[in-house]
Amino acid sequence: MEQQPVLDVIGVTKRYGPSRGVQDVSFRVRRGEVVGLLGPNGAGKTTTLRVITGYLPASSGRVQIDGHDLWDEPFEVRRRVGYLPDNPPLYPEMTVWEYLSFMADIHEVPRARRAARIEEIAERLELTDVLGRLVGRLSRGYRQRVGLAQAVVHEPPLLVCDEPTVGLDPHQVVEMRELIRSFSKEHAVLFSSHVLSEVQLLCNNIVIIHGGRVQAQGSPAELTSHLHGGLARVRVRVKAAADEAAEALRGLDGVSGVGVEEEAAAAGGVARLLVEGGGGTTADDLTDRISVALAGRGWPVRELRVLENTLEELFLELTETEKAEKAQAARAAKAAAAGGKEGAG
Amino acid sequence: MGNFGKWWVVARREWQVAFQAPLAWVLLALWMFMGGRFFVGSLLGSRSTDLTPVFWNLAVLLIFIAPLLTMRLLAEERRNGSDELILTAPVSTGQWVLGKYIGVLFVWTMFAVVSLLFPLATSRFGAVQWGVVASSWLGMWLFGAATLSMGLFASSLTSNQVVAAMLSFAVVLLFYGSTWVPGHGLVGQLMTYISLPSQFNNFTLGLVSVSHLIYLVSLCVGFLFLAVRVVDLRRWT
Repeated sequence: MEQQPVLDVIGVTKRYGPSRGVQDVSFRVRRGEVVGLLGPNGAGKTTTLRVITGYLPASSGRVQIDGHDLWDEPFEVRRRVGYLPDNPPLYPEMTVWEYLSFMADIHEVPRARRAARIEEIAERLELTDVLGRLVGRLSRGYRQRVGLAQAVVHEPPLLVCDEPTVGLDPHQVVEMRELIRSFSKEHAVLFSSHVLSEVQLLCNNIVIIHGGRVQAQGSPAELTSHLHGGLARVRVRVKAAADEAAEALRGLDGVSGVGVEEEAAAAGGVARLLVEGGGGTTADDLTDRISVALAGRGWPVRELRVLENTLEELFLELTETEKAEKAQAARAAKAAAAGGKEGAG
Repeated sequence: MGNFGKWWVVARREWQVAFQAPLAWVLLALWMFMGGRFFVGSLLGSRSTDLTPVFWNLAVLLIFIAPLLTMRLLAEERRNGSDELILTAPVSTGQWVLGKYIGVLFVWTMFAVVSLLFPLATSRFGAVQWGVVASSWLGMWLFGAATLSMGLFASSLTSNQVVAAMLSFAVVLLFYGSTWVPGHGLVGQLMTYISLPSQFNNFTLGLVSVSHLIYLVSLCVGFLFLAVRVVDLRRWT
């Protein structure tokens, strides 16, 4: 039986204004998972997180946390979520200790446990030295950690962070990532980011969102395996005429296509080719066959490299197609407008 | 911790924050200074022990003080986004707004308590009608409670504190000066009835009637309810 997810987002749509908002967003976060909500700025990441935390009501769809529905039992859900919004909005006129006790009370941490819990969390986040300082006097890095402290003070099953590393210096970014990783041992974590490498580094699962819609989701390996139809690709640099080499490789078993990337004449007699495997051919098989075939012809091989499909490619592909579609739509609208004008005139 | 705890937690924070900033102290000093002027003017000049003019004038000061005490309550939270953390915590909007109100009511009560120095000082030199003092003081306190609820409501409408202060000034003035509106028959009676001075007047005569208490309390409840609705509705649009 599948384990019940900590967070279940089911077909959430949030409309506000004609174009903003998110449409039909669905994904899950399971216990022990770190899930990254990845997308360019303005993709709908913050809106999605705000719906999940109950700040914005969804126009349609459901959000469930530990089996409790956000709509039916809002308090049961809120008790189970810790939230670190973008640029954490703290109370500047309180000391760190006062602020954390306030948030602990708000989040129903039992009185008897409050002080011990704050000390514990302060130690873990290295805030012990600043507990007596005013929040408003803290640096950005410290404030981000106070924000994180208030989000976990009540030990919620789900921790939600909106762009937790934005605005931090590189050193603090590394620290924040380490903290998120360490908190994932006790909490299911959902965080948003527009930094691909960060999501790749931290997450078991990635939800790519763009234009208010989920474009793809899965583990990094799952996501990239679908790229280029899941076919293996090998780049070859061989000292031979490009046409001849391409011809020879096309005849091989399991090769579906060969493209000439660079003519031999242009690169000192070394041609560069891209070989695509057919369905079911692994990258290793493909490499073996290519090397044997080329060696058999007596052509020296300079390079044989398996091209890994990267998330970056996927990310660009997803956001580019969107751009292309938009451009297309804009052109169509323009054409229609022009047509309308002609009709009117 | 039950529901009792939530608004109490919010109220206590408001109270602490109010007295950490200079504004409340400055207003308190102004309150005492002006109170002293009224006291000297109306009692020492006429050699009377009637304190009702002092409470009357102090109540008028509330038209200016209430907007200043309440302007930041909700507007500031919205400006810096901290409402997002409260409204995603297990706190209802009602508990939150009520907590804010109780907090500022504490601050106001301190102002009101300090003003009892005037009757106390008078009692050393003459006979004070404590019954009238008590009802006038209660009237002033309720007058303040009503103006603060209007201020809190105004603060829910905007994220700009200055705008909030001006709005609440306008609302308070509307309820203060509704008798100035010329009106006959039912309208005139209604305008007179809802005006805060005509309500307050009965208290300064030593009359504490249930209908006046109910009117002022429902004024507070009504504006708190409106503030809650505004905070909730904003998230839906």
